[in-house]
Amino acid sequence: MGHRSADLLSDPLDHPDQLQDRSPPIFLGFDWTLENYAVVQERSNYMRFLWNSVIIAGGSTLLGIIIAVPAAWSMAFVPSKRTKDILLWMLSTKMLPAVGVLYPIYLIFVELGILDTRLGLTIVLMLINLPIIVWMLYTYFKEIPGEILEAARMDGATLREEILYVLTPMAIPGIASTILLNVILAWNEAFWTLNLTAANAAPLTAFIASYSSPEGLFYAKLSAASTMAIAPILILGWFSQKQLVRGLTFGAVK
Amino acid sequence: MGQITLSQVTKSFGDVQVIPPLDLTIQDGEFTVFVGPSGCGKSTLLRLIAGLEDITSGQIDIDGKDASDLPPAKRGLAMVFQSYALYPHMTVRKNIAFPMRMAKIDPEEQNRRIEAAAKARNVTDYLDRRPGQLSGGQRQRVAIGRAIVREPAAFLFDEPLSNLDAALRVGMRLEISELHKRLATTMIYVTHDQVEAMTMADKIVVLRAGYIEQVGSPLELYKRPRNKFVTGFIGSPKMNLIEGPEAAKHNAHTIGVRPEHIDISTTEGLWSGVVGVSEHLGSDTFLHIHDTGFGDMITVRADGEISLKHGDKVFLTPRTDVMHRFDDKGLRIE
Repeated sequence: MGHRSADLLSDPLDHPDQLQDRSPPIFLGFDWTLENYAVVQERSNYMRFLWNSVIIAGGSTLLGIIIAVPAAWSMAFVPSKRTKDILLWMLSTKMLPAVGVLYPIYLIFVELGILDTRLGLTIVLMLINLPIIVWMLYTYFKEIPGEILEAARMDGATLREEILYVLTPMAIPGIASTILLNVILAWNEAFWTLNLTAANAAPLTAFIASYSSPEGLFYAKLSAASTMAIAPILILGWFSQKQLVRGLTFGAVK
Repeated sequence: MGQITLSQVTKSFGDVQVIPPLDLTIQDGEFTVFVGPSGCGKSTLLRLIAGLEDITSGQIDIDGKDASDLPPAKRGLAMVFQSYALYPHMTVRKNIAFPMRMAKIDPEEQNRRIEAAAKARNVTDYLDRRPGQLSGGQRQRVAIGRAIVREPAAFLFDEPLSNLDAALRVGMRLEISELHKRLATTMIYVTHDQVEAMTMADKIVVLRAGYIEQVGSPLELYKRPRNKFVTGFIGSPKMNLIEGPEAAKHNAHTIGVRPEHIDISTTEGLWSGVVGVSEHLGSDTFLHIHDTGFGDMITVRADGEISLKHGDKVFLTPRTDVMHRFDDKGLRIE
């Protein structure tokens, strides 16, 4: 099957009857149509999936940042003997295959009655991405010279003012790229979203998956669904490019 | 107003005691300089006074009030850092305003003080720039401006000039001295540069491994160093230290003669040697004399016009009236 990723964009524009194996793929020599987008939108409510994705990806990232900023602050600026161990331990949770804990988590979700809810997914995605958020913020915070925070303390700032007026503004590029990366990770997360949702909280990953069914693959519709699913995140990435690059090459003025 | 008293202050990091029990009083309005080699605890001592580090035991009084457990913000001190530590995301104006903003001073008064500080520090033209767009000297001026507006009980300087080039350093040294004369506020200044210590200080505190080796005015330390260690820090180039039979002649284990207290001649003198490197500074010439029979080479300060070159044989005569004598423990013999 000579299917290429570039076909993702051109396939939904194909007529269904032209959808056959092609090698090499055809890019322009076919009749263009937007019909598949309409079909997909008609068959499944795109907006509902989109909204779920936005809530789950945005919510889990926001929640993660709120927890991770103070955590990373303490690890970067008041490290204890165990700080390095805690960081490694947090990362080690990412080494566990997700499927290994699917059963207990599923049962917990049933027990708590949060199966197929946005709240449940938001929490689970926040937790699986938290190590990465903390690690990234920790790395950015480490770049900020401690003397600047000490200067703030000498200038009469309380801890809250120090974090609010000095640390956070200085770390904005870092925080922005952390947010972006985590939105993307949460947006594309498929294992937990597929396993813990059915209809109510299903995000765009589930929307794509619904076009790959046991009855066969509907390339044109699958491609249309995928394009629609990645479009928002692609646009977000495009607009935040500058912040992202600044964040990844972050350096404070000495 | 700005008297700072340290009583039996200690500091340990884990099991390592970096400051053994230490007593020190800094009088109101005094310009005190902490000098010592790196790792001697001078910066730690400053940070203990600032409150950036907690003392392990003892007591720190500022203005007669126990400040040992106060956070830095409540001690009423201002600090100037080696790296300037300006807030990179704020303009110069906002940097200078920050301590007043934290103290909730009314905006009009803030502006008045900003204008005054900027004018005095010569940074008025840069008020709307960010620190990243300023040169090192300008940044340090802004940092000092930021310290002044708080009207602190004392200023703390942590090697503020080490990141500047030599010419700027001299200029800033004068500026800080002038600031002290004008404000007459207590200043504590940490440096490893003995020229800064000598020129600026009312009182120098020489530290080694957390111990105070000597406290005194620059001239006291120059004229009567308490031990061999202090001689290494006060006076440039360093005092010549001679051990052995030559010292025994003066009933000492070691004798010390400053380079400026040796007369040099090509014809006669007490000691003889051969000129190694000669450093011509214009006003003075520093001659390094080898083969004197004392082990170490002897440094001599001579006239700038002197025309001696590598390999010339010379005679040296120390001035015995200003000679320093030390016992076998390195302590001064009167």
